[in-house]
Amino acid sequence: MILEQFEIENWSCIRRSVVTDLPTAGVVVLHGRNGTGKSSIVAALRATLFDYQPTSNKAELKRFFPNWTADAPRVTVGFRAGGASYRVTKQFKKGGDCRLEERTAGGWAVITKTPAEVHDRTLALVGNKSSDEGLQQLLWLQQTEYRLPDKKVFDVDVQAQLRNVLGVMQTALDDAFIEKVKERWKTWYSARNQPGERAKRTKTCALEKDLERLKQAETELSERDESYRVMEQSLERADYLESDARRIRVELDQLETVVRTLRDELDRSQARLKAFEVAQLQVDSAERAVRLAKERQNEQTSTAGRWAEAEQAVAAAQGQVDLADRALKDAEQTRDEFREQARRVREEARVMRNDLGLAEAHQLLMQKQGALAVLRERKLRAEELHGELQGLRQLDLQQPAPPKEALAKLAKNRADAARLLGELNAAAMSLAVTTVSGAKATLSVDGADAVVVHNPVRRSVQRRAELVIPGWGQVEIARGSDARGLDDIERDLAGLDHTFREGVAPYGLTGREPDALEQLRRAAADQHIRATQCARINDEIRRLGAIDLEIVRAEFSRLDVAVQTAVAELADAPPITDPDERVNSLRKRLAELEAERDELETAERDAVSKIEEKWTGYRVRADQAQTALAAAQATARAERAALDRLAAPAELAGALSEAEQRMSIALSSLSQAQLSDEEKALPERLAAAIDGHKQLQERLWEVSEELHKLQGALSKSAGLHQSRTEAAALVDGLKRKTEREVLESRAYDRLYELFEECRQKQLSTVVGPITDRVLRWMRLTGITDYRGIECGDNFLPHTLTGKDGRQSLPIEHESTGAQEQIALMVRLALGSVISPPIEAAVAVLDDPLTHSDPLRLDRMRGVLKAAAAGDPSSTPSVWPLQILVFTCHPEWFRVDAAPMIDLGNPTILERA
Amino acid sequence: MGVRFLHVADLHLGLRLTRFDKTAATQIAEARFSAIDNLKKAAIDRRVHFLVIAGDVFDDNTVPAALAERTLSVFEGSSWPGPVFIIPGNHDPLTPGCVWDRDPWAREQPHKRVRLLRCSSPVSLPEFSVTLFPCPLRHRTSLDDPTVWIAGHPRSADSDIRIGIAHGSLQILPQLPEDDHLIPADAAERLGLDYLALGHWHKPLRHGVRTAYPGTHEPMRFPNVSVGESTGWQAYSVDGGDERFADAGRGVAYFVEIAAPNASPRIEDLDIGHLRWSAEWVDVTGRTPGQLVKDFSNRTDNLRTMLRLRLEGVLGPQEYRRLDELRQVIEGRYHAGSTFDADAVLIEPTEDELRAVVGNGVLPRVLDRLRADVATADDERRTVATHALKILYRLAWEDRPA
Repeated sequence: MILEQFEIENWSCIRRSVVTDLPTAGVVVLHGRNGTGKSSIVAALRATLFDYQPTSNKAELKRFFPNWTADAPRVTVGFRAGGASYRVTKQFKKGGDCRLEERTAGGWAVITKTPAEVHDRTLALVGNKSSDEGLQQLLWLQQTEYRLPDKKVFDVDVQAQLRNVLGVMQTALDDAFIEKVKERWKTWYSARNQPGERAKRTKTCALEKDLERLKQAETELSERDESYRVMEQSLERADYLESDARRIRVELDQLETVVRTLRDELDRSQARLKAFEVAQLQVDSAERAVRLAKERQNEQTSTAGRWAEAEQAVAAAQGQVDLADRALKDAEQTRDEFREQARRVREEARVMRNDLGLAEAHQLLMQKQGALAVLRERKLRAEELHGELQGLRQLDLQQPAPPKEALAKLAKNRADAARLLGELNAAAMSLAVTTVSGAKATLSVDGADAVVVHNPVRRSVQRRAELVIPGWGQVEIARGSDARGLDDIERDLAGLDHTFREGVAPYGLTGREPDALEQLRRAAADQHIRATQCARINDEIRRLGAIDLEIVRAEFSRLDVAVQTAVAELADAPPITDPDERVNSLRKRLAELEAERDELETAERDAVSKIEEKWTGYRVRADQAQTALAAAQATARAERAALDRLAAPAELAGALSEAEQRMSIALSSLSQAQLSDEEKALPERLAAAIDGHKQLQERLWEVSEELHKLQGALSKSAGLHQSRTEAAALVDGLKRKTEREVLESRAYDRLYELFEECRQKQLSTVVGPITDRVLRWMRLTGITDYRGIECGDNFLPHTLTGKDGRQSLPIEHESTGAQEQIALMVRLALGSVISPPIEAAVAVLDDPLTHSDPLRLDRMRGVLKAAAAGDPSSTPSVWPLQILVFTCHPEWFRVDAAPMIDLGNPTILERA
Repeated sequence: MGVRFLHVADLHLGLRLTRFDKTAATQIAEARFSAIDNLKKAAIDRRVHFLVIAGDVFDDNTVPAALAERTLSVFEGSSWPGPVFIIPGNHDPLTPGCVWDRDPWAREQPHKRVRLLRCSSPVSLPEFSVTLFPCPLRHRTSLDDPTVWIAGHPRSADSDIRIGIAHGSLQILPQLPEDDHLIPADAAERLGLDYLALGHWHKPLRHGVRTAYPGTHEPMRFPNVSVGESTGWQAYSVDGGDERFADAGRGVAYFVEIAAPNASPRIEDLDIGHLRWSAEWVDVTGRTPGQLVKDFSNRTDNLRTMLRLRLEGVLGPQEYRRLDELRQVIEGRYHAGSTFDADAVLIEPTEDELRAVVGNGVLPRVLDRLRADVATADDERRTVATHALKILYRLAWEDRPA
């Protein structure tokens, strides 16, 4: 259907509006300011063509009834459908004007005037859908409707039409199938992974629990198998032990035979053994006799030896006593020698000290004489210096000079006086007075009496001049300022002169001398020289230590008396030529003697100490020697007595010889009864065999004990087979179950995965032409961030695919403006493929793209133009659209030569 | 006077089974005792003089005490009044702490009927004019011939009927493990035995006229299925998976009758097994599930048949779905532990069927991708895809348009 014309009366705010000759395709812009009635026109078209019976009383309709007239709304819409033109008129009231007409060659032919029939037949002509269903759902946009239709209310007939044109995407079979797959899939999984990745089963699904149980069962089976393995090892050990026990028993039997044989042999050797034992006893007896004889002989010999030793000990002890006495005497003699030597040294030292005292007296006298000479020279010099100092001080008194500061003040005084005098002298002015002929004036200069001048006169003015001109007045000229005139200068100068005179008076000057200041300067210079000299003399006096001259003189007198006394004392002493050398040599010798004396005294003390120590030692040794002597004497006596008691040596030798003969006989008998080596070894061999037998028995016991333990342990293994079997059965069962279910889960996951992949491919094949067109338009408008659009089964897009193909974004995440633009593009793209080829479909856009910026709006004009033009040659064919744009911004939608209908024009739209 | 006896072996009581659920495993274990009851009934029926068990009464020496107790009670019970001669085999050898050294076997000596022959020495049974030559094993494996000692007791002119009882591998097969208690093939003849009652091998086998293995008294594995994978049982020989431990699927005892010394024994198979075990592969190509259901439903004695059914071949999706009926038959009407496996069945729908079940939307694309996966060389991917394909057919079929 396309709209050709409309005429609206008494509708809302519209008194009357007539638009005719709308173009059959392309963009038509109907524009007017806000409140003009654009939306009311759209509402009138919707109501008339689709929504309301002419007699309808519905409130939604009633709200468009005018409140400014009692007349009912009346709308006539001319449209083209199925290749013919129709005109429907509805006056919305009972009995109102109502008819459906068809254009014929002769004009408009009424088809029906029955309101219900008018409505039904009109509806049939425009598609039997209300204004928000069918193609209108896509192409008739109300204000603020900037999104795509909700998928829940998207007309299924439109979807069917799209399916007819574009192809089948997902059938009911598919739906039912994937629902079942999903339902089963959820048994194991909760979320799909990225394409190509295997989905992860949920931890709580029964399969995962079974797998966990399988793990536990395997662990349990492994433990039981291990127990069984241990049992088998025990069996092997038991086998070994049994074998070992058998071997041991065989060895035991063999060893018992050996023991029996050895015992028989041992019995046979018993007789020889007894003879041997008798001979052995005889030998033992003979050995004892020989040993006794030899012991006695040895005793006699040793007693004699001890007696001789005792005698020697007596002699030795006596020698020790003598030796101790001698050593004591030697020590006492040494001590005495030391004492004598020390005494000699002390005497020599005493003489030496006397000599030293005399030499030192000479030495002291010479020192005092030297000091006296020095002191005398010092005294003389001091007296000379004090004389000079006295002279200089006298000059100072005679030729006084002002101090430096006073001299500076005086000099400043004179400089100031000279400056003031200069000022005073430089102050003379020249005053010239010239009178005209016959004129007279009186002139007074520097306090002088006034003078009458009548001729030209020139005067020098020092301070003040007064000129009185009769008939005219008086002129007074005065030098200096008001505060300080020449009087002040003169007073200051007089003050300075007075101060100067007072300043020079103490130095014998009047102050009137022209060179008074020079004289004072010279006197000050002389005084300064004298002061320098006095300072030098005082320094020397201080260096001489002669500040007080009387003290120097008293010291000289005292030293002179001391020298005289020393000379008198040494008058009888032998003269000493060089007392210093004598004192040094004597001191040196005295030091040596004192060292020698100290040494001797130490030696003496050592000698005395040693002597005392030795004496004590010798005394002890002497006592010990005495005791030893007494003991040795007693021993010697005892040994002598013992020796006397023993038999004679010859008697003892005879007894020994007899015993040795008996020994020889016994050894001969023993030799005859001697056992062979083999016979000797019999007891050891028997013992070894018995020992071996015992060890084997012990080993057999150990083996038997271990075997019994193993048997005991093995006998407790009852039931192990069954428990292993049960564990293995559980593992087998769980394995079978889980393997089957894992396969099942993976098959379902694969089905789900494949279905989704294939569905996407199917979808992209079917909706490809639509999405390609929309994408092209999106690029045209500057929406370039996406490379794909994913649509749902209802052909409505829901997701935008990013440039990298991975990032997907729901359309709702885009800006409102972009959503509005994309939605309009999709509507136009979908609408244009199901638009009937006979005539274009009409798209009514009431105030569209209100969220778009000017740039996008400008680009959207291109989209509208393309959509309106269509492209019947494409696959599937895209048919032209008649696009009516109601807007208050006509400049936004001006497309080429698109008709612009100004609703503000009263001839087109007259408002109430 | 001749002698009649029953020869069984390899009872393997306390059998290790891991591939069944607990109910099935318990019933299988119980079946072994039912088979012993059958044995005793046969003994009474045939009026035999004694029973001979040639080793491996127990599956392991560490079986539970209660089982050992029950076993002794079963043989000591009054339902069979004659003696029972038992030798230890390689699964229950006379090792220290073995089942024979524990209560009740150690406690109740001498038993009324059971005679555990612990020594390799002749046992004279004058009441039957028989001398037994038992060869008990002391180890799981051994390089020794357990019958070798019998050579020290040669036949004499006045010998009784000589019956050897041994457990080991008769050297009639190539490449037997050297330590599998090897017994010369001509042992019976060489040792002058009238009959050599053997145990160890699990299928009935007679060698010559005097040597025989009765196999197990009750099946314990599926015949023709590689050993170890079918039930979880493990032989203690190094080649436990060998064919000689494969199972006949039924329990057998030999009825042996020897008329006189040197006479040839008459040996007769007796079915004493309680269950029958069967592993079957069925190619379903060209068959309808209905046929299969009918076939397996109509078999006799289903409840005493342990069936492992594996299907292979190609079916259409509709037929494939009907396999569930067959599954219900196998799992519901056969003995507990019976299984049904149709994993190897391929589903190949016709193009019309395909269109009907997958439509013209997304599913055809999914189907193509799965088919590509099935053709890949990547085993894991192929396995998952094969399974997924079946799920797709099943789910899509359930929702196919009416």
